[in-house]
Amino acid sequence: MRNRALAVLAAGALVLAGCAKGGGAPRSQATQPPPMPTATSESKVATIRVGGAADSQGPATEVSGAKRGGTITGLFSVGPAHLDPGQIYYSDQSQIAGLISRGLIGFKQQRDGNILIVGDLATDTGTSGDGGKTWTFTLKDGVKWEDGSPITSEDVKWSFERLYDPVINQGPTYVQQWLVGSKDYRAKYPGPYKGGEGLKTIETPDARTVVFHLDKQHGDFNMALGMPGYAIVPKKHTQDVKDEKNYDKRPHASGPYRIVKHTPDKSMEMERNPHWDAATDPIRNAYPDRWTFEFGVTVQQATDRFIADSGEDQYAVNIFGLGPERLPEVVADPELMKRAITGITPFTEYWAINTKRITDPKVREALIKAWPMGAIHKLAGGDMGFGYLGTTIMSPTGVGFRKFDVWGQLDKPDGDVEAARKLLAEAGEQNPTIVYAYANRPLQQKIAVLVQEALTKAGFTYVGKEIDANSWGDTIGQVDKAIDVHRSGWGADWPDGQTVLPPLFDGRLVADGASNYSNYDNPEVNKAIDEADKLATAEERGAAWSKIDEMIVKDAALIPGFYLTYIDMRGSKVWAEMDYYWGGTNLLTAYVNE
Amino acid sequence: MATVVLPETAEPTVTIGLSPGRIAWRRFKRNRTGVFCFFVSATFFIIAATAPLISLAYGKNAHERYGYRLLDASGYPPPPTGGMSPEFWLGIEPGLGRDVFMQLVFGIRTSLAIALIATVGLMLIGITVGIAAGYLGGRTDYWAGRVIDVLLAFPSQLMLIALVPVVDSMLVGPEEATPTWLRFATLCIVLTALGWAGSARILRSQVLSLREREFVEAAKVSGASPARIIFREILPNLWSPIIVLATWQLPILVGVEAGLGFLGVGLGPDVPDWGRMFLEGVQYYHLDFPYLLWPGLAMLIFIVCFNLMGDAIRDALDPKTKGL
Amino acid sequence: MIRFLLRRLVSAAGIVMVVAATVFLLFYALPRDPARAFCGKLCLPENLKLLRHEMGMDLPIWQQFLAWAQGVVAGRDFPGVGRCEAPCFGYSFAKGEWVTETVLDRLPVTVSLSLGGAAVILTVGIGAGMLAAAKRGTWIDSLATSLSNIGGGMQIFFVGPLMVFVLSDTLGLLPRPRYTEFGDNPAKWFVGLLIPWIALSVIFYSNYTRLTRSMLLEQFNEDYVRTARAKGMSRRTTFFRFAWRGAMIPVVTQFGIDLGVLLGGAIVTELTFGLHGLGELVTQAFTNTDLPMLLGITVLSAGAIVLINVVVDALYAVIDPRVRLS
Repeated sequence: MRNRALAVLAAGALVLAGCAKGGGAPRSQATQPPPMPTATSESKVATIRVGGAADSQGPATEVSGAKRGGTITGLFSVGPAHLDPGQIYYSDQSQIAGLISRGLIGFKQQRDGNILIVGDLATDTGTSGDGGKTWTFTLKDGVKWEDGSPITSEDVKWSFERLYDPVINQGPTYVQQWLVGSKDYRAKYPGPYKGGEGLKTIETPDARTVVFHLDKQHGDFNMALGMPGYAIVPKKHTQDVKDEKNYDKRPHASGPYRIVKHTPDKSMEMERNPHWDAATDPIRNAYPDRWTFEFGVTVQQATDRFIADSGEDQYAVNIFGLGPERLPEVVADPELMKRAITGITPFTEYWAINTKRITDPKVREALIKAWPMGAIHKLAGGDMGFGYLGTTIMSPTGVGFRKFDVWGQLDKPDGDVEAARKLLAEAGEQNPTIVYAYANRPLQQKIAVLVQEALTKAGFTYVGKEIDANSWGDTIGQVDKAIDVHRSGWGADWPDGQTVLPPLFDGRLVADGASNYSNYDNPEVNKAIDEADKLATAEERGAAWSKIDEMIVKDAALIPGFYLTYIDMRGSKVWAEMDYYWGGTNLLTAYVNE
Repeated sequence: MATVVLPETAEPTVTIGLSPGRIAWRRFKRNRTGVFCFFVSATFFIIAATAPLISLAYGKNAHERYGYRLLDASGYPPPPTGGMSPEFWLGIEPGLGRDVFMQLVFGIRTSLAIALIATVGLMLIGITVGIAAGYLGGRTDYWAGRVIDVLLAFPSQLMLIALVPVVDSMLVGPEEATPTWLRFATLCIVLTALGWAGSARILRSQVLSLREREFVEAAKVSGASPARIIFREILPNLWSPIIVLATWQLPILVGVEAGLGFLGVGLGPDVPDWGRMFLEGVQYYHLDFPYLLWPGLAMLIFIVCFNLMGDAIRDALDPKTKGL
Repeated sequence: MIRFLLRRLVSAAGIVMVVAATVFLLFYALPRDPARAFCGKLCLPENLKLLRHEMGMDLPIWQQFLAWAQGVVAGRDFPGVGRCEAPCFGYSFAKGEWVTETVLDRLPVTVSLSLGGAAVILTVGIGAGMLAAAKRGTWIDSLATSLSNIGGGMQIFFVGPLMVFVLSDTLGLLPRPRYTEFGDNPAKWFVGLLIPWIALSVIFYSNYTRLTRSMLLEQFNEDYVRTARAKGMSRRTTFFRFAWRGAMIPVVTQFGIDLGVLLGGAIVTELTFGLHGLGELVTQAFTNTDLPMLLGITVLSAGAIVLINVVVDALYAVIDPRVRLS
């Protein structure tokens, strides 16, 4: 759901002149009070905590002054590539899917901006036994599909079983592995479409109860179920695997809206789902009667339309952020800033150093010292338009985040050429060659110009390698890539370090198509990861993850980059707030405000 | 692309004793707009050719980020002039902070070079195919005609976008690093490959009519070799349509190259490029209008002048349309 | 006439087929694997194999092309998707839609943009040309000529955003470009496309002004027109009786070419104004390695260009009976 590296790329690939998502409000410049803590103030990081049965009861807390009715328009640069819950991973899809599909668990943004993990279709956040090996959930009374039939435990079991079929290959894979105890989970269970028996590790004692038996203790299982990729689908409407392509465009609704018409990459219309009962839903306010989406509106065009604020655009929102070129115009105008939506996102950007090719830590350190962080920051749009200078792997929104600056990047954001040269001399390397790979997108091409200049000054031999954005993911995912440094980005799948550090830096997960882009394998780190994963409470785990974070940064396996921020606008006749969990505009609480 | 109204093939019968070229030159000199525009166009080419010298005299080059410190936190140069000052004549590039004047000068150099190379290339192919088809006739003519039909039926922008990555990958393997000349070469090749058909068709029809003229017949009867007929009899009489076609093509190619930049298949930001400046200007113009204005204005002046010069040349070569 | 049209149509179909085959080959030269492109994040070998089969990519290229051509003529079955009736341009795996349906859905946008633009271009261009010819030598003539020269030097992605900024964002005279179905609200359809049309006409009208002006002046000098004038026919009558016919031929030729350019150039125009027509669709298809969509649109545009040429040739005969069709 939240691998921004891929999400941004997918978005950019569709729009030739497209721009990456991201934006936010620097506290120093914005005229309004900060909606969220800054990267540098440890005091108030958005708390994410697990709620109980009371928190899981509907209806959602009213937004003061909100009204029901009307139509809100989404001006989105790309349409959702998938809407079948099983296929959903990226944040744009997740945000739209939140209006249509419900899972057992959901993330509820409270009125103060903090996040509560609550039962969505389930009555609470689950009961665990065996210290987290067995999990039991009970479905709420009165939850129904858009055709009026009840959502049953049968549907829940089916929803997880079908994830094993090869057709479902875009969504998250954690739970599938945990249910059969194997990375190669499809080999253990082929899925329900080829006949045979169902998954034995999911039991349905009655129509409302589901019991999951996991391979080992997973204290964060309920958080994982909050991913929209684990939302529930109706068994009777997904029986035929051949219908998958159609179902992926128009899934059956359990949430407040159902799809009337969806023309991929062009437009979509949604109307109220008459069988959705607000009393069962603690998360979704669902104020407007209808949603219409226009896809293929570049962020710059969307921004221009927000600024002009004429006609139907007065009812518009967007989740892809402002066009960075228009940002100063918006910031300079207090009237426009009244309609701005800003905040810090859970996404980070960094540069992976291929430790298989650059084995000398001194050379890696020299790279970090030489890196033109400040210039890239300014080019990409600064604090507000891009993000804060970051020095860690985990985002400030992660549980257990702790600030440290191992390489003094905050003191010398424009790099330290002398230090880099000295390190290279110590390493005994005469002008080592660095192959820098970047996607053929305007911003990345310009960053490459800065990198070339900085590395050359520091005494490296720069070799640029431009890669077609369409094959970017495949290329950087290869273990034996002929690349030394490239950009990457990440967002936690749920706010536990487990979804950040192991995928990116666990040496046992180095494989083609995996995300350990640094090819980093440090036995000490591997061991620490295993230790951290055994801890039970979110706070203990968070502290342990943060320590591992620092170990990896100290080993110069990456060039820490940015904590991305978000800034966007809304039309004058619609109200919307920041969605801190997804790092976008909150679609669930928006209302028409005439 | 627009059609071009071609002059009648120059008559070889001139009474006053001046060559057709000299007569045309005399007529051209009398057209004041044409002469003025000729000098303006020539200035652009001189700027392009002497860009490194201009850089030396100006004291800055196109790749160093001299103005970076003057950009604000969002990467914008000081408003409202986009950072124009005695130090930065045309201001500072937003984002990277390079000198706009140098970007423009070297950008003109890149774009004109591409357009010029492509024009020469496509004229050469056009002349060869046109003469071959027109003179040889028969099967050659038939197949050349069909190829031209197909090429003219291609949706041009789409084919340009599609061809650029194909040619890129043919020139350099996927594992090698991408050299800067690569995209430059690709653009020249693609513009040439997709552009020659129109000229070939027009030249073919000119050759067809020339082939039936008495002087060609006479040469044939007197036993001249085909090569001699082509080079001594036909080609000299094709010069005026060739010049007119070339002057008509070049500004179009400058525009097309800019369009490719707009679609994201042009040159990367490490090479100064006129077309791309234009495109970036369009992104920044709300708050930094000068950054769009300079390349925009320069291109407008160049294309308008080059077109007017082309008109003047055509008028000079074809007295029939003179003064209309 | 009918024999001429038939013959030209057959050769047009041949050209379109060759264009299709060329795009097909070109696509295979691209350094990308379409099946891999849709296979997604977790692409298992099994997925890839199935996708290749569903996309028909497990066949040799020429067989794939034949299958495609057969689909256009007689319809085709797609394993895993279903039956597609003729004219079937295939199934877009990138969008999960039938190509024919998607293209028909986007077609009205591009047609409105191009034909409406063409109408404005013709009106402005010929009007200015006639005015310039009638007021030959006066300041009106000079103004019309200079303006047309300047317009010819402009680019759509330069004029377009400027016009939107000035006309709608700053002055509020016109709404921002936006497509509304003609059937839904003709007035909105018209107003929403006005800025793109005007922008297109700024760029394209110059040729018509020039052509109309010079051709009219030429026609006024023709013997038959002079004779008519000498016999006491008014200037207006001579123009509407005789002169326009001769002047129209190059204008029609130019129009045929420009219409093709407008259709083929819809990519930049639609991206500039954020309209969701075929031009946008084709760029999406290209970046998504969506061969069936790309092929469908290319064939459609090529077909349109070739057809326009046939129509232009036929129009010559209608306008000027002296022209014989061969």
